[in-house]
Amino acid sequence: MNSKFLITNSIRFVLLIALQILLLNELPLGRVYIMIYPLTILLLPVFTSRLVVLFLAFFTGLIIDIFSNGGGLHTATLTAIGYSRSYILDTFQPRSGWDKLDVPNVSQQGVTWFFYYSLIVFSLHHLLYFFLEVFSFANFFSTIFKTIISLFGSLLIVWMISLFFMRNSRE
Amino acid sequence: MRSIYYLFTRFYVAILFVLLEIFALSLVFKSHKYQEVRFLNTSGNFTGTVLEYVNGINTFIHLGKNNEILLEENTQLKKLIAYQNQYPGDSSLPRNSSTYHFDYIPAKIVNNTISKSINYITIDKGSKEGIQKGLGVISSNGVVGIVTNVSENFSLIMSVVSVKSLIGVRHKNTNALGNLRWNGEDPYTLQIDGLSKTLPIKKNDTILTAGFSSIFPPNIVVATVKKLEPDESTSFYNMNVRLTNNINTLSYVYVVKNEKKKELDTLQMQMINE
Repeated sequence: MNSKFLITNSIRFVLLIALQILLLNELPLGRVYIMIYPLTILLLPVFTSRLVVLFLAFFTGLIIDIFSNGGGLHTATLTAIGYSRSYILDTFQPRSGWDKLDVPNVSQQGVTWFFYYSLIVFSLHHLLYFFLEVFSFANFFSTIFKTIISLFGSLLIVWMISLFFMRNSRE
Repeated sequence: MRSIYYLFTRFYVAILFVLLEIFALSLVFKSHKYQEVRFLNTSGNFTGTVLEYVNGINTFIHLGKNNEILLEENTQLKKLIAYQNQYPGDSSLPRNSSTYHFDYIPAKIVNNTISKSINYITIDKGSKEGIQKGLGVISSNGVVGIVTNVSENFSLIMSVVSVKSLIGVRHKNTNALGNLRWNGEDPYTLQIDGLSKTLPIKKNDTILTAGFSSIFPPNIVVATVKKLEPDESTSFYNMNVRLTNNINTLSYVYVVKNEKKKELDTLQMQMINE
């Protein structure tokens, strides 16, 4: 079971990072910046060690930064997400608590649960990213607007991907 | 000692998080402060090569449009040659003007973004071809940006669509000087400040490069006026302009090398020092 987790998670990391760098970074969408790479951290099994999650988040952010001239922005935001993930999972845990083999994805936890979970994590990530990018509260509403439209785009793609893979895993 | 050990075992994830975050944030602060210091960038050999490979597809998609742009440029150059042959003594022509010695290095765009507050473009020419930090970059119908990082085979350009970009421009009809900058909002709309509201400026007027710096050659068409209104509190116009080139779909650019840049710069520095 462990090696199966390792393989599926590694493949997911590579595919999501490739999708982000090669396709989503190149999209000519004006001020909308679609970021789906936090999904790599989001979908790790619940009982992945917090240290591993933190390091994975840090290095994923670093890779995204190197390929998109981010100058540390992606690293800083994703590391924060990696750290706060366990607290978010704690507040979102099912009534019976987390089970040893639980994965926080659509197929196991259901559509509504995943909707709120991804909404919280992506909102946090996008807010951090865009405010760190402009580095001031001067154009507060313009930054908020940018965050919201980008968040909408990112979540749309995230949910599409999740629903697509949900059907596959049930077969 | 024991309590420190206890603290460490209890909070090692938090401590590590703080350390990693400090490292990441220091990168962010540095890249905010000095735009040319980017430790993480796409001008590296590995990243450049990967992106170059991927960009082949992008180039293919825009092939038709690029052919059109090149054809247009060719026509204009042909007209210029014809004019030069007809009036060989005209001193307004670049060939005869002794102040400007510009050399152009053609390059292909490998990576390009437009959705950030500071946008970078990676091109496939580097120090091997003689590209240096600080050179200007133009396309066939407008300005693109300034070189900020150079590796052996690739370079990084900070595009004009960046909040830190500042380029001297001139209004074509009145010759008044202003600064082209971007407020970070709509990537297709840039701002010009420093143009006095007493000037007769109209919508759709042309904006050219000023040509006083040694970075860009003079009289390159940069933008057209999209919207203008006099600012209530100052004596200047609030002006929105639209770039003449679409930075987003560019595939080829020219790096401008001024052979007299060094001479000009040292002379100007001397004047400032005295």
